Amino acid sequence: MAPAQTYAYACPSGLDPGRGLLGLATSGGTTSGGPAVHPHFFSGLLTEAAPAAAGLIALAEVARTRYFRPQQTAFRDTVVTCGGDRLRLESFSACCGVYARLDVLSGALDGEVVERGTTNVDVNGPLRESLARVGGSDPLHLAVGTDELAVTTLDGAVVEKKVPLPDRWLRGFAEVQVIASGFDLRAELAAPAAVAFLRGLPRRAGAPLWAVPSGRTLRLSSRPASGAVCLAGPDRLATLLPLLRFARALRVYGPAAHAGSGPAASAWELELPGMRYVLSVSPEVSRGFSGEGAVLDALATDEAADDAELLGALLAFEPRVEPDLLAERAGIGAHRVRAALTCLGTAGRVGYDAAEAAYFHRELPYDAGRVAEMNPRLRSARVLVENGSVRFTEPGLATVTAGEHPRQVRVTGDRASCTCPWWADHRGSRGPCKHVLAVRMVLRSADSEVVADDLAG
Amino acid sequence: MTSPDEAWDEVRALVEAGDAGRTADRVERLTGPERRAVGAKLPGYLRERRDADPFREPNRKWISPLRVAGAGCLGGAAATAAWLCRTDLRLWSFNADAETRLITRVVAARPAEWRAEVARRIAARIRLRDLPWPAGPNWVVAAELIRGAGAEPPPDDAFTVGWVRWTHPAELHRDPFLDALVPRLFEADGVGEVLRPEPEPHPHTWAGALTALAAGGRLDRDSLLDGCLSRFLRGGTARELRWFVSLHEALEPSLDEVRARLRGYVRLLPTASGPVLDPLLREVRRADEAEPLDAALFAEAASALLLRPEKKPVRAALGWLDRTARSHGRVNETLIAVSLTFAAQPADLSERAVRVAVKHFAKAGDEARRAVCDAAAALPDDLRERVAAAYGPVASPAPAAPGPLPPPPAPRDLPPPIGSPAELAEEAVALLSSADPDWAASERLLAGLVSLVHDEPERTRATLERLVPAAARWVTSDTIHLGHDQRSWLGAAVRAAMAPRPRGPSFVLSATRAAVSAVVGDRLQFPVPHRVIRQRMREVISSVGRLPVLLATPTSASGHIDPGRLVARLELLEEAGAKPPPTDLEQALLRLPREPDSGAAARAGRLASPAGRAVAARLAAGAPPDPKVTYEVGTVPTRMWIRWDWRDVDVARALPTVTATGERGITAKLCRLPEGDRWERAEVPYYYGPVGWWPALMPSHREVIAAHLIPHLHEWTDQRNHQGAALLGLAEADGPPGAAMATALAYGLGTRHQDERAATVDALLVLSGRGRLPAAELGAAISNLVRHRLVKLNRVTAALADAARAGAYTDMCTAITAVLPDLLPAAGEKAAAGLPDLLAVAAESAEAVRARAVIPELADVAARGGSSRLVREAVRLQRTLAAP
Repeated sequence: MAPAQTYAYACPSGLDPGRGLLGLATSGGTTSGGPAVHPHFFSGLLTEAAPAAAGLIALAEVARTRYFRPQQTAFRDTVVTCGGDRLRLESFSACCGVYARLDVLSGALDGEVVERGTTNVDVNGPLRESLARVGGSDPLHLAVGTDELAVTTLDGAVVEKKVPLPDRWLRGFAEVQVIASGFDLRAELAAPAAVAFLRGLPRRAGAPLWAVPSGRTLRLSSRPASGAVCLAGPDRLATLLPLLRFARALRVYGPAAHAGSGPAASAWELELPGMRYVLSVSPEVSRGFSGEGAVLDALATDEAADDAELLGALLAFEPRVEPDLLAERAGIGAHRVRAALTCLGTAGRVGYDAAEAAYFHRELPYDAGRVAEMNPRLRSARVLVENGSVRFTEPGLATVTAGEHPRQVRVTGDRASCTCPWWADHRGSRGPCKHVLAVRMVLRSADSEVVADDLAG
Repeated sequence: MTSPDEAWDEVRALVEAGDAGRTADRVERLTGPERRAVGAKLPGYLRERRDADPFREPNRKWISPLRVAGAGCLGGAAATAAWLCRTDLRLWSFNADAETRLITRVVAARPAEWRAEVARRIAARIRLRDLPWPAGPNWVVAAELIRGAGAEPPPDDAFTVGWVRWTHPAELHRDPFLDALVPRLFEADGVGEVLRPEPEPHPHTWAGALTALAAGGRLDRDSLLDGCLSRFLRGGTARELRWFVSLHEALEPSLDEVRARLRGYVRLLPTASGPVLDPLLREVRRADEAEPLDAALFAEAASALLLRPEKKPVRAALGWLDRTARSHGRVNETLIAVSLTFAAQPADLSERAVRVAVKHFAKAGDEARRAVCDAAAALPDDLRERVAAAYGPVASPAPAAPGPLPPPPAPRDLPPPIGSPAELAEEAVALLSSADPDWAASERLLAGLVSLVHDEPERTRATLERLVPAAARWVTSDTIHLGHDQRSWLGAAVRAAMAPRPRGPSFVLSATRAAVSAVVGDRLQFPVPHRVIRQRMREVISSVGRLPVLLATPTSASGHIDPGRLVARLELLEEAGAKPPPTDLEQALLRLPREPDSGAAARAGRLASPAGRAVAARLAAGAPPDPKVTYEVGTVPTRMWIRWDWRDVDVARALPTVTATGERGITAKLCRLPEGDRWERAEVPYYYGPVGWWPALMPSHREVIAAHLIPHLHEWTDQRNHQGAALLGLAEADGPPGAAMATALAYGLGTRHQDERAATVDALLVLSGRGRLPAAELGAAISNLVRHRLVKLNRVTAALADAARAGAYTDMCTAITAVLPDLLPAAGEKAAAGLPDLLAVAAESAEAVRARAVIPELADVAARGGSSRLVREAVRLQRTLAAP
């Protein structure tokens, strides 16, 4: 049984049609002033009510779906971050393969920011129903965590929800940000082309497909090309479809691809009036973001961890984190800031907005210790090093013995490879395996005597 | 009076006798202390019995008595509920009634609140996916306890679902849970999946029974209608909602009831799934007929419907708007709504919208006229002109610049040969654990095995022995089954490279299927290219440790071998005094580029062996004449199960033939299709093997491999077997592409799965980019296959449109103009589905590259007149093609 998270709300979230008030109840979180039980972030007008309501429904849909081997799952509440001029609402699917975020920008908000910070908001069945009733062009009052809310419920009952929160889910939620930081804009489609493309996607596909820019739209191809974006499991974009009626443009982000690249993650962003809805999907339906290990090499150093701690203290829920400014204030070099931001990302302390190509500060409202806990592969690698399981047989060739099977790690310059099943399955596309990590740690420890001793003995 | 220990012994004896009834009798008679004593013993006893069992399960006969004893003896409500919900105490039958009676009997003496608490705790532990089994019996117990205690039913979703499952609708009127649980029907997850849709509600079905109760005043009609609406608003799949649609229909909401909920209905129009949408739309229209919707609501409903992704509601909405525009005095609102479709919907729907817009022009106000004119800019040319004819000038958008032609792919080199035993072991482990090793990596591994075992035998063997067993233990066994999948081939080769066992490994070749095929016909025979690959694999396996190098390992991703490298390999062989195995040599010759290479030929001429001379001759002369490849669509018999009997029926099939003279060995095998020289039956081998390996068999003669593929492509129309990747391989290979290649592509374009189709489009673009696409033959093949119903035109059309928009306008124009003469219907005939779309793609391509052509059949259709889409698209295409 996975460790559970308990959300505690002062009252359920709800929409009061009489007053036109959408009240989102908050659970424990972090604010710029420190931890808070029911923080109050925003009160004011939501000028684009219909797309915002549809966006919230889409987030709820992502949170309650397992796209790989679908089955009923526990509903994990949406995370909301108030970063001054905007609200960001985030969900992560139960299969750890789809991440959704609704950025409500200043254009759609008219009101008072009470405090900055991050927390969970309650999303329940009756709220989903009343969100579906939102329509037309009437604005809606929005309150994210306020005392007014308690008044709307009859008995002022406290809402408690307990849901399992597996480690891999937490890790994936954090790591998807770091993966997104490697994305660039690959295509931008006007609304009609976006509608035609998304509606024409196949419901199921055997292998990952590649969307290649072609004229004013995208074309599905079976293999990567330069400028292409990988799309595995097109059905995972289904939550974009109900939003298409509001869409103004579709932007697609992904890492650089070239002929022969392996499947990669991608982000699909719908521009809505006053807001953006972004879906990030993992490289394959069966792959969660947690196992990507894209950052393990960066994490393996202690320096980055120290820098991250330093930077973490400087962040104040900025909607955009400016690395140069941080570098100056912390007095460290730009490349160290980048590594430290990666560390902060995997600890769930910053998110990445591909549209602005910038990190934003938010503290995932979960047990900080668990989010920051070391990646299991990194942990295993440390154990291997401590147990002295790494032995060099010749330069660039090491044998790592764990359990009964010896694995061989071959290092040539920047590339390293292994004979373990993980490597055989992914060939490094999901980051280094624990054996490679361990060998790199030994090599890096400058303690080359070990290597020399091994070779001599 | 017995002592507590004696009481336990008695209960235990009854449990072990498997007698639940007598256990209940005994438990009922227990005194307080005895009960506690028995309750304290039970968990330990269960653990002990379970541990003693080899499968760690208690004896099934004891489960029911154990449950009864636990319910009667355990003290706390929590402990009792947990006992009944234990996985090892689940009942192995659906019929729990008898047992439930026993359980209620043994707990009858407890306070009502205790019983209700047990039931609530059981209900909270039931998971939806455990209904109806294994949690069903526990639901029955919980429901019975609640009923007995007169308590409120628990709020859990699963309890409601259980109630729906185990309550007969005819009994509903006297069900104690009715009032509490009916509102939960609309809230609990999982109810919709349990209830079936009811086309004809009946008092003995759920929707019918609820409607009857509402009619009798027993249930509140309004709350049922509100419940349906809120269930729809909460969303869900069609499957989850279909029963609620039935209930809504059965309630037959009156006009007033609809009006009271109209806003909710309208808000559902953009997102409701199909089965929900139809009745809602009907109700909205009904309300509108009676009294026009207010302007804001009308605009919302109209735009929601007109932007739906499905065609049906858009058509329905256009009809509704058209009919009510004048009678309801809202021509302007209608026109503004209708103009939304221009940019958002495909041409056939925009066309209907244009018709509506033109029809109501006379009554339109300025604002509406402006909206229509603005929106019309997004229409295709002919529709835009129709709008302009009525509304005045429409700005035409800048024509889409044709995308650049895709650059021809540079010939990719394969990764360099494996350099060390360490790398070899790594590759071996990776490929042996891969489900579907690709040909290039496999060839590289085989080449590495042969050359490294020759160069560094001791180290290579030691490394493989040390590392491979961890990943693929099966490889170490003394006999290896040489099957028909790549992994067994690679496994056998790796096994041959590892130290031989005392007796040496023996390779068991899977029995040729001749014996079987004699009984069931040829379907179990493997196709020729597969057999050729396997023949070479057997040779490669026996070469490990005997030869210094393999000759036929390709050096380029197209499957070709660099002539210089081949000569170098031959030199190595001669140096070692080894004779090349015949299949390997022949395969190497087949993989040479088509062009002569005099330099390499001269170097090869210095070799003494017959192999060297053969290679020198081939390099000097270039590729031998291409085998003759033809194809036709003919009829052949196939066996079908008709009226309780197998009968032979003639069916149309694309029948390729390959003939060549003077060939020997595997070339002769590959250059003879069909094997018996005549297609006698439509059945082809049932084959789902590594078809991606085929193109590299004859990379200089792709037409031959294309011909071998065709019969299988037909079989795979609805399947995925990486046929798209095989076609891509052929596109990257070499050789004059002809009718067989075109037919294979046409089949690929008509595949059901969009991913395979996308790969075929990639193949098309590669050929087009290299200037080698047989466009006219492709058109002929498409029309041939479509006419014989071997391929569906609408699938092909979508794929051709993709290829055109990716830049292959010229080729697509050529291909489609070749399709048209045969497919355009004569006057009075019905056109193939998708033909107007094909014409639209042709027109778009022709406009982009200013193509010109004369097609009499097209001119005929264009001159036919009328307003059908086929004719209008024909006119548009004809105008472009015939432009000066």
